[in-house]
Amino acid sequence: MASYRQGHGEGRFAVAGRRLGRATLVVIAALLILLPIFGPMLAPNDPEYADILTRMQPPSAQYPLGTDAMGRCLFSRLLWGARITLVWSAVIVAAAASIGTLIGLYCGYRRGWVDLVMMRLVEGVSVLPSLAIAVVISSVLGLGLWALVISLIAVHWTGYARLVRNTIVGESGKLYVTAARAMGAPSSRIMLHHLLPNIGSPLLVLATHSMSAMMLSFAGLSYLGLGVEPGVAEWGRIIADGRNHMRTDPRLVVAPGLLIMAIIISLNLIGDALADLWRSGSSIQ
Amino acid sequence: MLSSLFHRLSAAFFLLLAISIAGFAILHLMPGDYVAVLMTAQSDGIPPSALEVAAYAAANGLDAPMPVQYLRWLVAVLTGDLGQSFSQGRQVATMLGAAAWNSATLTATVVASALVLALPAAIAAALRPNSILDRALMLFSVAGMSIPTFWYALLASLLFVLHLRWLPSSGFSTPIHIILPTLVAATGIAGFLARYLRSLLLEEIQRPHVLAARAQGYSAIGVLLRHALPNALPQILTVMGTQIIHVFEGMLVIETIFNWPGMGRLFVSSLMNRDFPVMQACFLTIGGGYVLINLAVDVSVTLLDRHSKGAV
Amino acid sequence: MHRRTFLSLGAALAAITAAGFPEEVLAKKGGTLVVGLQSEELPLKPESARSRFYTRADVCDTLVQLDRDMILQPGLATSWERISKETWRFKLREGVTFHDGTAFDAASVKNALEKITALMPYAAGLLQLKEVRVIDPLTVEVETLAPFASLPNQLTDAVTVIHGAASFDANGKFVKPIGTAAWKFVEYIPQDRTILERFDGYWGETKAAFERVEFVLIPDDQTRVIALETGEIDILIDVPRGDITRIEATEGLQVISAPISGVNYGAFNCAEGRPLSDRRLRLALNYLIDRELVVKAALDGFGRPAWQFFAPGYRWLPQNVTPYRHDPEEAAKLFTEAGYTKVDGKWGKDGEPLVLNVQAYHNGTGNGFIAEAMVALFKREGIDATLNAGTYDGMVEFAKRGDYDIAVQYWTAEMTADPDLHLTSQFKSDAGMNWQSWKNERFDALVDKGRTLDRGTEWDAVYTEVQQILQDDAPIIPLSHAIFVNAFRSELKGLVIHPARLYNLKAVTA
Repeated sequence: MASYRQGHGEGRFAVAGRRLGRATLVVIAALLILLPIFGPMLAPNDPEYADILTRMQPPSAQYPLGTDAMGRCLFSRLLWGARITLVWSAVIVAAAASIGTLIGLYCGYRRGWVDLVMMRLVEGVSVLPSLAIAVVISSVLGLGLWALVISLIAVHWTGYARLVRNTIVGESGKLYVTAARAMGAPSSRIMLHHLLPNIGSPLLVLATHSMSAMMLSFAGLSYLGLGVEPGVAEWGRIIADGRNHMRTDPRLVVAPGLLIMAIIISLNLIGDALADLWRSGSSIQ
Repeated sequence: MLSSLFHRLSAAFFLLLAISIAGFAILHLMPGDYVAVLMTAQSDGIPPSALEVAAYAAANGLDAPMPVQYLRWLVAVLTGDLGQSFSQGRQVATMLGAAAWNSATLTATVVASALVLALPAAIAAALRPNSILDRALMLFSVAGMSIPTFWYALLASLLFVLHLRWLPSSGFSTPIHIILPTLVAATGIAGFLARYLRSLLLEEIQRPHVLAARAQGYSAIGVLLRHALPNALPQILTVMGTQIIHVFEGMLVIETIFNWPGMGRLFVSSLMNRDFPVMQACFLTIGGGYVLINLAVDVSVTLLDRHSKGAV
Repeated sequence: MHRRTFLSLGAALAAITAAGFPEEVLAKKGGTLVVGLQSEELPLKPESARSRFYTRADVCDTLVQLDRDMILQPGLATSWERISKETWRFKLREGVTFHDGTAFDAASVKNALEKITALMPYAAGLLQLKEVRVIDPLTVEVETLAPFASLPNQLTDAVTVIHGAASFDANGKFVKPIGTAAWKFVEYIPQDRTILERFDGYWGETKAAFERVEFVLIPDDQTRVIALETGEIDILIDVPRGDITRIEATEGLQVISAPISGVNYGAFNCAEGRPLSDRRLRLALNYLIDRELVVKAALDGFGRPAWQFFAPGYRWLPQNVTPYRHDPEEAAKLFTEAGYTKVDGKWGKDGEPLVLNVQAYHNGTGNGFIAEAMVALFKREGIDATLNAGTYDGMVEFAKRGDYDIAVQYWTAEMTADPDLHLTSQFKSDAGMNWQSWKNERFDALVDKGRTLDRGTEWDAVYTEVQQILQDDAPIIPLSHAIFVNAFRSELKGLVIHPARLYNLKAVTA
């Protein structure tokens, strides 16, 4: 990339801007990690404690963002929501990505009947909307967080498997892989040292994307009445609950909506920055 | 090439078969006796007694072993008989036909709009990576894909329907009704596509033959359009194929908010009412449609990607 | 690029607007009344749970009707008398025609009731028909399987409407509604709308002012409100609770609200081994929960706090029943009697904290929110509870498995102005919907006796005691009696709310 950019030259301001951007992203990344850990400690109130007598209060010192229809502190719910929504989204993405990548690597490198069968399975799973699977699973486990987590993992690994496999298929015919193979490198080594770095950046882009997709799925399922249990301080649930009063008291919907948007935007920007770093790193190699 | 095509087709056929078995099995594995649910649906929500259930099952062949019931059902499906809806009493095939058409229309406008928005943005961004324009476009794309759908739908509704009075709130009676759901559904997809296309194009740009072309003095945009874009086509197609299911996921919410009478709404309401025949048919249609779309993608990728031939 | 695209999209929209979009879609078509509904009306499927459409929308008539005080009134039958324990005789209205021009007579009543009971187990259970006899063209006799005093009340239920002969095909399958009431069925567009047209041959005194009615499905609450504000719909059925006060204050819009039949209540799981098998605990919960707060939190106050199963104030039901009251001290006393102690602010027994498993579902009556408010109040009072709220069927599954302590649900308890239907289907020990595992022999015997009695002092005594048993043995916790809230454009006049949730659109004028 560096050689390409040289052609256009880069102004001092652009360089400074990029550095500033990177610094901001590092700060945001730190915040994203710190928020679920320390956020709840800053919460002035119990996020699930509902005092109906103080429902629909405007923002005040005791309730920085006011209270919701059940009389719960919106600010505390948003802070605790970080622990629920962010952490669980990350868990789902990590699980789905690991499963998907392993399967994709194997299939893409080995091909043959395993690949054929696995890719049909990938298709078979991904043709079923995760919502449908969520409902089926939750009617057995009961609706709620666990049912959501399991069903979202069960659906989302396929995206990684497909991406990794298709990229590997493209890469394995290339000269450097053939060369490595000709030199007698074991396949595990080829996969780890040559193929994996090459799919790293699209994988990261996909992972940050699906982290946000996860948070959006939570929200969508809550809208349809299939989300986490009522009362749980999950961000999607908080917006869905606020809908009933959004025209009279927009803060109930605007605050969590903007928060989700801000977090997802940050996640995606961090993903981009990581992908850039990885790409420049591997091209040096 | 022909044998590969045959390979793909037969694989798709077995996948469809597997989907039909899975759809049939899952619905029968769901808690709640199938026959009892059916009878409850027919009696205004009052559950029947165990005796009534047994009698009804015997009279309607619902006590046969599962494989037999599956085969009967499959034969019926293949002859176009998808059964009757529990909750509406109508032929499922009729309900499904209308809903599938409505959803296909919406999906087509969504995918087309998303591409129209994303491709120029991605090219503009890739031409001058890290420029102000690139950053602005990518921030815009990120914002687009970061909005919770129903939240966005409500805000869009408030703006375009209530305040500007440009668009109707819901329904599907005129072509104008498709604009708002398309806008809401396409924004997220376009954002994702723009980012993905940009990163693909940037990778392509670094490839030796592209660099070589640049060195020979071809213009940046010419190289992008003539070399980078065609090279990235297999991956673009693959990702578009996988995005179809996201479009559908979006439909579940969007069709409800705007009351677009498509598969999304049909599916949600059949889940809520435990309308098993409709649910099954939705599984088959969504699954089948997706398989066929991705079959087309795979075949095109195989045809396009000359490298993959020697890979095995 | 994005910006330019948006601009051109805007230009396109402006062009469409200029091309006459508002006139076509937003503006009123002359003589059509557009009504926005949250869930779909299914005119072609009487078997579904939503079959009440025929009476709500005035497409078909029942033999007997209920007025707004829930007193029986002549419908297609002008008078009725009980000529033996099992037999009722109905005199029919003269000069009534169906929408297809055929005449209404005794034979049509026999045909419709026989077809409908054959089609629907619910209708069969409701009417207990043995035989319908045509005595002369305007007289029918209905014989029931057992002595059945409340048959005229049951005949107000929407499923008992008299459909014309051509409503059914040769196999008795329902084809389409052909009724005798003010509006004629024209078309049903699935997942979109149902269209009706004024029937000029209607027998009733009130002739409809509008030529057409369209019932439009708009499932999303906020979208439905916006549709009213933009004028796409004229009447909004079931105003979302959070918007009621705002719409009331909006110029050009009006809100109408009144109590209707319906109660949200929590059914206690009284099965052996469950904490709520202890009557004292069930009573304690009933005293503990302040229904005023439940209604306030869950419904923005648009519900009536429920302290008994049947809403008070109806003339057809004996009223001398002791309702529950909010009395935390009484509750604490009952907890202590049942062996519970409060440790660290939490009620528990033998060192184990009490944890209640609450199951609920979301519906248009705010059932899920009511359950959420109840659970919030439990927690405030030191009772731990988990809440699961999904679909109705999901809740039923948990209830059937016995995997719950409280199942919060909605039931139209006063629908036919007779207690029998609800008591036999919900509370009798053999009732299909008695998931409570509640058994009270005295209650069963009284309910069996009550349905044979004519209205009078003995009937009053029986149903007073029946209601009191429900209060004292507490198989449920009543939470909120329903209030029906609709909004409409101020030009419209004549909207009323009927306790059986009839829309009565024939009386609406512009």
